[in-house]
Amino acid sequence: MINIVDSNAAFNWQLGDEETVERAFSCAEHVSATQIVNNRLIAAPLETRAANGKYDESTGRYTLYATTQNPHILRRVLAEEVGIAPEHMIDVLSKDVGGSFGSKIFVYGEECLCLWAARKLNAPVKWSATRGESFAADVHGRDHLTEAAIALDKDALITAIKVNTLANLGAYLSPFGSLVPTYNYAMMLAGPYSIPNVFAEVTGMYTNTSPVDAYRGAGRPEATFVVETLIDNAANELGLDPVELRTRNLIQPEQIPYQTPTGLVFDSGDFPAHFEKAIERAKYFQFNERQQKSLRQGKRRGVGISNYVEACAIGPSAIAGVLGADYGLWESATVRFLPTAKLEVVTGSHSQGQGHETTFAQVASSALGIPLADISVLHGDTRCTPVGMGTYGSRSLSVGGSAVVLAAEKLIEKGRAIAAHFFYCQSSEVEFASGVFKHADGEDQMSIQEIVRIAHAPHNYPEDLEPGMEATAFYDPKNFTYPSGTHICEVEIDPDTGSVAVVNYTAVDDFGVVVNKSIVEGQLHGGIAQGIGQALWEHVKYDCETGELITKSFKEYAVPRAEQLPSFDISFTQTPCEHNPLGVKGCGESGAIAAPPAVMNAIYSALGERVSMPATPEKIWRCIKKSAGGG
Amino acid sequence: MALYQKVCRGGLNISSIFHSPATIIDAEAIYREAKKPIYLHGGQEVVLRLQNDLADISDLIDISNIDELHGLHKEGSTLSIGAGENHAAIAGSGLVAQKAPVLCELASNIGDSQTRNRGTIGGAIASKTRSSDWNAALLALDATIHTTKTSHMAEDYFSRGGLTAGELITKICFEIPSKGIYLKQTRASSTDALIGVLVSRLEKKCRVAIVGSQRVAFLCPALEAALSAKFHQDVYDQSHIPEGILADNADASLEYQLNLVEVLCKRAISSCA
Repeated sequence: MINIVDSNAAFNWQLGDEETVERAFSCAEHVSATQIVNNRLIAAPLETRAANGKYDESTGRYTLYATTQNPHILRRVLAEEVGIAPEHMIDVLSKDVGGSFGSKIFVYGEECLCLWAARKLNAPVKWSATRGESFAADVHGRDHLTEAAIALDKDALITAIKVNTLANLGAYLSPFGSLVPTYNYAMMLAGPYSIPNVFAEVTGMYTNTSPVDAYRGAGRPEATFVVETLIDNAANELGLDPVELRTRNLIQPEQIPYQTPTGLVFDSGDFPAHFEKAIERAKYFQFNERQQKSLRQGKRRGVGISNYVEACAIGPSAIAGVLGADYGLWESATVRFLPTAKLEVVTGSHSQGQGHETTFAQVASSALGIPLADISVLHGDTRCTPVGMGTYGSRSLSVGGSAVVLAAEKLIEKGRAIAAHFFYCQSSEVEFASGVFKHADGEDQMSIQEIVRIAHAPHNYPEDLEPGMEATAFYDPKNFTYPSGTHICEVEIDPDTGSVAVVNYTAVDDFGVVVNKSIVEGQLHGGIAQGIGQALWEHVKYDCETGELITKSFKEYAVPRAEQLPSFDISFTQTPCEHNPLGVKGCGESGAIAAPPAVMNAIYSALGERVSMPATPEKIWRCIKKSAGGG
Repeated sequence: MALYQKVCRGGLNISSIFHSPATIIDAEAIYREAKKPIYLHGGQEVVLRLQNDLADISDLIDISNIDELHGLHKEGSTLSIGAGENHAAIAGSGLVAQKAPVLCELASNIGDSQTRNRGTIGGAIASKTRSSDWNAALLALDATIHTTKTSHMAEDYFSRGGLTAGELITKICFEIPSKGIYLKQTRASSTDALIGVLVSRLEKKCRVAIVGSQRVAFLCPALEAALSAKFHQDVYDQSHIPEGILADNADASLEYQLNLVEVLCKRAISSCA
């Protein structure tokens, strides 16, 4: 840092009432404190960022092909902030994108340069990042240093949590760089527990590193890691089983809706349900038998639990406004019947491998009663999609899918009016189910396909009704969705080499209504793998002297490989979301939130000591050696 | 003959002529004529070099259609493996499983399945940059590396710095061990060995070869001597490990690497006893 300012702190931010929390700590029966490092990560999507800029001299239009998660936001920033051209003169296309995990939310210099250079040269300009460039210049994730403490009363009920976090922001403040370590993080610091007092102080630090911003979970994994670490440490110190301490403190279903001390309202959820189911599926109470078996083979075995609840499906625009955002966080959908009764679902959400083409088609199929084969889902093209807000924060199905439902409902309403015209009745007398309009009191019925054909050939048609069968809807959620879950991990450690094998992994999650089980399981698989990766292998390193990135390729930066992971036992509990029409909750980030503490608590259980993430074999070997008195 | 063309970053056009000879003689003739040629088989090294723009190659000589480079045979007291055999073929060979199961085990843990299906033993040894696992086998099974020009004893091959220009490995002959065990601790970011140890019992001696993540491969004569007197893990002493070869690196400290050497040596010795 050049010494022209007093400090490299960008901001100091607080949440909660420090005095009340200090009072709770002063009358606590037991206090447990610890220091936590949340290691810096690289998102490492399979496809690196790429852009292709074009300029059409005859029309003055710019076209950008990019790997963004949010084409409309990119277009707006290019117009409003960068000043490439007015918004209506820029088209942004982002089609099949190979993964993102948050790193492609942001507007980077290269996209802007491609457009600028395309005009300068009057020729298309292409750029794609090498892996090394991607590692060096895409935003990184996490990177917290935290002092945390938990206070408990004589019944081991948690009375307060306080944290003091230094959050590395990198050299430049990225768009969500200040949001992730503040609201996204501190609001989740009570977890799914009935903890009345929380105080968080966060200092955002500028450093000579790449910017740090949203990476799968974005603040919520860091919070969950703090809470679940504190609880296991306290349980160990009090001689309580970690299950017992959690059981005493979980928010009970009858407490829902539950106002958290950090300003959120959990409007649905049954935390004990997934907790108990996970304990049973993981055979937690038979762990000792497995531990003995491992011991006989010279291995140390540990089991770790992680409960989480997160706020996602961002988000209510009103809350975004209160937090200072300039944008709303709704989503849009157009549902368009073609004259042959085939359907186009056009969404403002964006898929980077999450399978929206399947899930959104299922939502439309279910709402309109038409076969999946008759539906195509379009996204990622500002020329033909309604203005949308894109995909991040586990929002697509909850917010974008809900917009599809609302648009479909408009079509059904219109269909009722057309059917009523033929049934000689009022619209209100027409019922709709499974793709068929029926006269409530008569025999008359028409399929939605017949209605669509009539709407496109309106020869005999209700007066004052528009032809065509197309509707657009915008959906702005009333609250976040609060998915929650319990993950239980078992590890086996070779004490001679310090190698860790994840041998069992059980996940029970509550995502409300599950529209497509395979896709949700896929999201969990990826998230858990990334979470295990953070716990055991991944760590961005810079040279302390030169500031050079050391982990500049997959040779130095270790991402998880399938062969290192066990088969996950994944199951669900379901408490539908109360406020969106699908009853769904976001599922994309849960694995990455829940897994790191589950793995690290399992290692803690095996060693009786804490090591920091990533828990490399050498760290574990040193820890065991130290405990044995070997230095 | 086809033209392999790529546009380098920076707009530089690189064209390479692609050859596909059927015999070693033809391959060598093409090599001699060409300006800056390179042999290509599974592509696990060469394609990476091309992608990384490190290679300004005039001619790519595909040697994968040369029958002479293939075959797995028992030749006297040795097991001969054609340089063109890929890792997966060696891992799955009934003959290798019968004569030197340690090589099946070793080959089956190189890289990932794609690497094993494409990468060859000859390529791994010629490039000396990856799959260092084979280096442990070369040393511990007293291998002879046969080439189009000469044959190298494994130890000489490492000390003299490899092949000369145009020299093509044809086959590798390993002494058939009565027992052999290869154990490795992988690096976090790949299946390459952070430390790998191959202990073998040959007809008149035993061998202990160690490979490390810094591309090092060496024998431990002092440990071999101690084991010749008494083949038991308890004879292991850190003083048996040559000094100054292993060093602190980005993956692990020297202290941890030496611990791995000890743990893996003892386990391998115990399994070979």
